[in-house]
Amino acid sequence: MSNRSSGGNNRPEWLQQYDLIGKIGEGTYGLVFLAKIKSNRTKSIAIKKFKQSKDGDGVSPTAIREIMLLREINHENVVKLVNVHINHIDMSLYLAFDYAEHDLYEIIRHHRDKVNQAINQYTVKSILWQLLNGLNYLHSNWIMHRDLKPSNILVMGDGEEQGVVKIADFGLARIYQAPLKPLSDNGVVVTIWYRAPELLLGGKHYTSAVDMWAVGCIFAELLTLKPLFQGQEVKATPNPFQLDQLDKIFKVLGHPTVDKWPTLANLPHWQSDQQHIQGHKYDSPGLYSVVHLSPKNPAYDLLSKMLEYDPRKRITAAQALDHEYFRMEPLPGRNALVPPQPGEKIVNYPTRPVDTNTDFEGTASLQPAPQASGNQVAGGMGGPHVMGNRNIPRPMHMAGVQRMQQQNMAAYNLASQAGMGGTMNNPGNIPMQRGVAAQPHQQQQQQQQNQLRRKDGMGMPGYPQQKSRRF
Amino acid sequence: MEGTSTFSLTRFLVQENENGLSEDDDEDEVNERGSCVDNEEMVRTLMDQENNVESIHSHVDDSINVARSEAIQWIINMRSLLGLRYYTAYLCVMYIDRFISKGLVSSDKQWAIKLLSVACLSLAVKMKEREPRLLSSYSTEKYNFNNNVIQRMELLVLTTLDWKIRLVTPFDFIDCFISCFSNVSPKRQLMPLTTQIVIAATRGKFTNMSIMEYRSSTIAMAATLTVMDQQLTKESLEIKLKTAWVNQLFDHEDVYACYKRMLELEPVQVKPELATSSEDPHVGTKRKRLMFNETEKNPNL
Repeated sequence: MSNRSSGGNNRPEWLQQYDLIGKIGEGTYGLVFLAKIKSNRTKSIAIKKFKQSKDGDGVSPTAIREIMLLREINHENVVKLVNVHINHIDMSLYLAFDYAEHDLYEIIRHHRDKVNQAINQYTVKSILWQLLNGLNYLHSNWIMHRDLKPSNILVMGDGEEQGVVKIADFGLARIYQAPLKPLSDNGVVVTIWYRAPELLLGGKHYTSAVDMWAVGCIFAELLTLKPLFQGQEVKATPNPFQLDQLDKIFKVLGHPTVDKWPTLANLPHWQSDQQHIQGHKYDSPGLYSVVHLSPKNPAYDLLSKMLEYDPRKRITAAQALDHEYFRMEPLPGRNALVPPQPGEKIVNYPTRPVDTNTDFEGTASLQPAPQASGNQVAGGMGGPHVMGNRNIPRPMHMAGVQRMQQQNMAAYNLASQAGMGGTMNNPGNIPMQRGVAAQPHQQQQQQQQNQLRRKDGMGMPGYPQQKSRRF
Repeated sequence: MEGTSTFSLTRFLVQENENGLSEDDDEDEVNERGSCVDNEEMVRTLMDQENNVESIHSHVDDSINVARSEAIQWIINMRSLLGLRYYTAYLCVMYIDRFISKGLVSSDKQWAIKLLSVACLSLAVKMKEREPRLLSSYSTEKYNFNNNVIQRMELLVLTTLDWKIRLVTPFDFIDCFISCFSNVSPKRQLMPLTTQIVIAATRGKFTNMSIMEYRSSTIAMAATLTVMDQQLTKESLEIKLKTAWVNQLFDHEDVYACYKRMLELEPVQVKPELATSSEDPHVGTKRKRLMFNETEKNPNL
């Protein structure tokens, strides 16, 4: 089974190109490790190991779908698959991604629990803008993500791509034509907080609109630092009716009506009037009071269009990018973390905790390889951002993987030898080409390019241009 | 014109009730894409993706061709046995052809293409079917590999195809193309026939020019036209094409050439695997699980 017969010297060839730093997550789909490429020490890689499929199933369909999609995808705002490795001894699969230091879950939590301050407007807008660009690219290529949530939206740390948003975790993503089973049938646990009302009401159709609902929820969370619809999940199989989640939504957005949402009448749980859902009465306090925005604010207008009940009327990613919100100051930029305007306070986000007592099997405490090979594994680095214990169990970024607990772990300091931090923030908002901007240094990746029709351009502007006129 | 007299469309109807499944069992998902306006965008997207796929053409020797024909028959049988979609079967053949065209199969290994077909069918099922199947469901008397070997072959196929296994098939288009030419009512009848023509197109030699070497969109269009009218000339085909908006997307020469080839097709039916001389000669007698319609002589074997 394992190739590790004598302490790791017997490793397969592909593994020898990496220095393993440690484990950064684990969960239902497998483990995620942080590693460095030996030949390019500045480059950090996240390596996701898929769990072995059950004997008799062959290569796991989840792995196949995720890898297939990632092989085709090439966009600056979508996580980049650098390599696929097969351990031929036990046929396990390892995916190597460019490593992103942050994710929205951490960023939001840091602001809520540590900084006690809202995320600045430039950062919120830039994150949303980039998220929508990535999503527009996916949707244009008939790919739905289906599991967007803060922990799946990564943000690059120090380096040339600092502050660039990356959509991650395609374990549940599907091509429109591919057969879709309700997620619960797959035995997959997906958080319900970002789930669109048509799905909560038993709709079987996943359209790109379900992703836009999730974006709306994430947008609101970026503004308020609290999940917008924090329903209590009913744990039962299969596919239980999530009354509390709908209740949370209706309380904020009001009761849906067939008038405004004609296909509502056809949705199974509505039709069968599950738990008398049709009869509930809500006096709506209104979305604006929850997110503390004036109804006249363009941010509010955009948000409410993302949270439109009727999926057919819900704003699309392309339309959202065209929204007035993105044409007003502050304009969104490529480095979402560092505003181009001097004087703005820059928040230093904590680095991800890394469990260094692990090997690629994710099991044993192995030799202290990282230290031995000369990585800086600093004790509690990160200035003021020592993380507290996490007590909320949560799904995590790469793959529905649980984040490491802080205890007994050294934080790995990615202090940028890459330098440049902060200089890449697109000063002057020069329109940039998305998707092509990337990685001239990634020699071996060409095959992946050109694979998918580059539809990301589509006449879409780059970052919105500053109007030359000022008022 | 010449050559059309022997073609009988009705022969392609034979199969249809062999099991309850049809290609539109998930029709509503497809319709989710909405109106014809959306369809136009979808067709363009798919045809763009076709452009990115390297075409396959390779000259392989006859023994590989024989093994391939046999594999296709096995796939047709398994499709029926396991209740798979035609789409899945077609995709499987595409994987096999792509793998073969990489030149990695040597003709002296009879079992290689069998193992390849099992792995490719398993992959196609994982891509296209709601329910995955156990690897053991692909074993028959003639195809019996252990799970470990099949999984290794799956991985070899995936890496050889560079994990690009999301291929555009004719089935992505036919629904839309039929709608281009006809109104709603005859669609139900045209769909199964077109499906059968496309499936029949998997047969035929993998040398020189197999029908499958045309673009999937061309195959879908030619099949649609074949079902609607078997007497088209190059000129009348062009006139017909020009009535539909998709006209501009096609190379008329290709469509016509493909159409002509289709008129020579024989329907594909579920039938026992034909034993090759080196294999177990009793094989045909044991397969009671398969339901045969008839065992018409297959010109390709």
